[in-house]
This record gives sequence, structure tokens and C-alpha cells, in this order.
Amino acid sequence: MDRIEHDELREAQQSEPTREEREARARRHRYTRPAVDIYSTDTEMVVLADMPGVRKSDLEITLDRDELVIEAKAAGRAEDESSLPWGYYRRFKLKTAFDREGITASLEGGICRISLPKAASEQTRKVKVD
Amino acid sequence: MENESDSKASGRGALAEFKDAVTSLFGQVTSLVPDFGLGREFPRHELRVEDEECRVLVELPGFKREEIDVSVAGRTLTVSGQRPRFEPPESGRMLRSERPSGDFELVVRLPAEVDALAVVAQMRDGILDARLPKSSGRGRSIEVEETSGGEEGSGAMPWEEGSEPKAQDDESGADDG
Repeated sequence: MDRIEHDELREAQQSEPTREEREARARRHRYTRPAVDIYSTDTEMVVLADMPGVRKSDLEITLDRDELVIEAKAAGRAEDESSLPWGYYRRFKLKTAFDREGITASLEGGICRISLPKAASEQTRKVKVD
Repeated sequence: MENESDSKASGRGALAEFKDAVTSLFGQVTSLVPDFGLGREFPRHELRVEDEECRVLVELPGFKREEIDVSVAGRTLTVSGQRPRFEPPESGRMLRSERPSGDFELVVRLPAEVDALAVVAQMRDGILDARLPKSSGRGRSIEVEETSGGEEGSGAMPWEEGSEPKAQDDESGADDG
């Protein structure tokens, strides 16, 4: 395993909760952390998250400074008092510079795919040797 | 979950008995074939028992309906399939790999006899929704009306419309193919 890679992206640390945070947490107490696969290429980083039951309209992805936040409620679960997760919530701290405007996300069949293009300064470049 | 203590202890039979007791209490048991990476339960599921039907919801993100086998035998619903390991593009390096992959088999004990031929299972947003109408007869599939009338759960059928694979003259519960 390549440890260095983990610097690129790190799970956000829990900080002292504000009241807002506490309220949000109460709402999410039936949420779960989605399992993710993450890979990095020369030009982008891609996050794939298993979020079954989520519809596009209920998926919220925000980039708050260097923190990527994924949050979604799963359709119908709370209403049905389901024993399955009522939604998903996860935060990541981004250690690499990304092209914030270029971030895209899609959702298909309960899998969320987030593409974070690396900023030009972070991209791997081959140096031509004369 | 108790697998380790299970194999250590001589009381394997006692544990099996306990498991049976739990099963009869809660009417369901889950089995996974391989141990998925994080020891997560995969796939997660929920059994709902309603007046007219049992309903089983199974979390199967990324699956198409035809990639999943759903079968009913007696009071057992089996859902199985295979999820290939995710491979990044050639130039990609995996930083995290948490999502489960491999073969899975979910076995759900149903608390009531169901009509195997009338089972309707569909995929939506990565959730398999299997509806299993309870049968009034004992073990014999009952004749099913064509569901063109607007009953609560009408709507999309997993089979092509007009080709309902319902009772002809067969009486044995078969899987839904």
C-alpha cells in the first residue's frame, strides 16, 4: 500500500460541534457512512460511493474550503421507519489542489461518482529530456 | 458473527440450536458466502411483513435486475449475484477500496407461505424490491388475477407486460427466473 497517497485525501476530523452541527447530527443519526472506492489519475481524483436508495434530487455534494461533504437521504426510509440506513453522510479533507469549478458528480443505480479534476499545478507532467 | 467462538467451542450444536431459535423468533437469517473486505454486511436487507405480502428490500448498488438471481423455495427467499471488483482506469491508482465485491448470497426466511409464481421483484436506485404475496393455500400456488386493475402495488412488473408467467396448470413453486 502506498501510504503517501493518503495525504492526498484524508477523512475530515471531527471538530467541536456547533449548535447547527449538533442539530444536523441529530437529523443524521440514522445515516451511515457510504463505502467508497477512490482512485487517482494524473489529471483527476474519482470518488465512487455506494448509496443505494438515493435519488438525484436528494443528493447534496458540497465543497467547503478543503472539505468535500457528501450527504443524501434515502427515499422513503424515514417515513417507513426502515431498518436500513435513512441516508448517507461522509466528509473528506482534500489535500490536493483541485479545479473547483470543474468538479462533477453523477448518480446511477445507487452509485455516486464524483470527479475532482486536479489543478494544473498538481498534475503529473512528463518532462521532456533533450 | 460468532463464528470464531463457534468453531472453538465444542457446543457447535448448541449454537446451531440458538441460531434456529433466533431464526424462528425473527423469521430471517442472513448468510454471506465470502467475508467482504470490511466485514460489512453485504448486501444489507430489510424484511417487511404486511397483511397481504412480505416485502424484502435489498441494497444492491450498481446492479441491473438481470444480474441478480431471485428465487423462492418454500419459505425461503434467496437473492444471489456477483459484483466484480472495481478496476480503476489504466493510469489510475486506488487510494481506497471499501466497496464490497465478489459473490454474495442472501437467504431470507419468510414468516409466511408465499406464492412463488406471483413474486414481483424490481430494481430502483440500487435497491431490489421483492414483493411476495402471501398464499392462502398451504404450499400450493394459488391462481393469480391479472394485475391490470389498479391495486396498490400495481405498476411496473419485472416481466414484459402481457407475458405474465403466472399459474397455468403448474402447482409447484418455481423460481422466477
